[in-house]
Amino acid sequence: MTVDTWQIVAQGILGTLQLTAVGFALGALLGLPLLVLRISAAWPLRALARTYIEVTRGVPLIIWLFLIYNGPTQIDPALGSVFTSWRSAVLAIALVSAAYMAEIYRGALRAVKQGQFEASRALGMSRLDTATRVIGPQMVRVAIPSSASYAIGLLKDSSLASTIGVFEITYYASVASSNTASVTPFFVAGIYYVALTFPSAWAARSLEGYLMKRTA
Amino acid sequence: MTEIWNDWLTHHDQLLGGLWVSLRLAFMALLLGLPAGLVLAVGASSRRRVLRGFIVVVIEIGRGTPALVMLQVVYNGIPVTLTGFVCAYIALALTTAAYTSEIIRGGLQSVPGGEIEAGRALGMSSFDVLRDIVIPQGLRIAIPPLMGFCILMFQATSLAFIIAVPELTSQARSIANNTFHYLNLFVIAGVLYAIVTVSASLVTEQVEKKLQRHV
Repeated sequence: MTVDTWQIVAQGILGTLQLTAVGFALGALLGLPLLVLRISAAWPLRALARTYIEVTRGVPLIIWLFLIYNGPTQIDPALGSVFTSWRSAVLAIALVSAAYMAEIYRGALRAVKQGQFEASRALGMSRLDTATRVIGPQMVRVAIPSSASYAIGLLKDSSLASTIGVFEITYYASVASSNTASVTPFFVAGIYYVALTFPSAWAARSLEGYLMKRTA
Repeated sequence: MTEIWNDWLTHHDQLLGGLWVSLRLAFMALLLGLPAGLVLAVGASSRRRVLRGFIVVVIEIGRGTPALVMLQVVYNGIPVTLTGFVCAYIALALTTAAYTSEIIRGGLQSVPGGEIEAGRALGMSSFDVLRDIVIPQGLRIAIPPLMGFCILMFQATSLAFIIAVPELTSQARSIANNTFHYLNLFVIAGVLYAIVTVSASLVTEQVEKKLQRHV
């Protein structure tokens, strides 16, 4: 295991972190309107959101990556320059994360005691105020642990983006592996992933312990 | 739409063959991975500190390594030449063991401590307590999340295309590479995956409801 291998694979760490962070942030944002649709009073909207969530989560990420990256070129080869590796990967991860995050938010919403809706309505608070000042802050606390473990999972799933040529850890590992005809780069990649997820998992666990004390 | 349908008519044999390989792969990975997960779960709740520490490190490494990297390591790293299918089976089983051990451990821990003490007080050995009291009840609690994991593992078999296992994703990809009908083929593959996973998650939901009545 030469120092070289470590350095070559390390080139991808930033790519992995960027892809995970941007994809997750977009997904977390898109998850909110999806949640609103999912719990909407109008059943067609609810069914639409439910279908989106089930189908998005039911199809492997790799299919989304290929579909978004390669799919448009069937219609017009020029679209290949619009859906670059990086954009396709971010888009695929954001779409899938939105579905997962909407379900996490919904779980958090259910964990907040229902009486609080009625209580704040009875106190004359508007629906918007109830949502943003009473329910929202508590939801965030409940949702953080599961969001964190989802984000950690995403860090590893972002390795799939190497298959469409995004420059992240696994990509550099496969390049180095085929150049040197050895498996060492993949061991190195594994160690980097464990090194990235280990502290995040630990941080998520202690955050969880702290936050659970502060929910009614 | 009609174009997608035409592609389906032309290639459905190959695609369904791929789906069958995916299903078999998931089944094999779970067959080996789930018992290993149970062993790891029991080890991780052991009272011996050294053993526990060792198992926890193994689990964390297994969970921290992406399945894609695991596949590559097993495929390229084992000095004996194995077929892609066997390698995928081993790699996915390792991932399964690491992930399910945490799910099972959660189930085992939810068995009330009083029952364990009661068993010990009746003169049962700690192995008997584990086998007859903790595991049957703990596994039952763990069933819905384990089923959810099985669905995820079925999806993870799509990664095996990277080591040339002819499963659904790799079939769709090779057809698309020949015909340039990328959109059509990946839509079809996605629909096939969704049919399996969505119906499986509906079943899981039913099982969950049924089990909740008995807990």
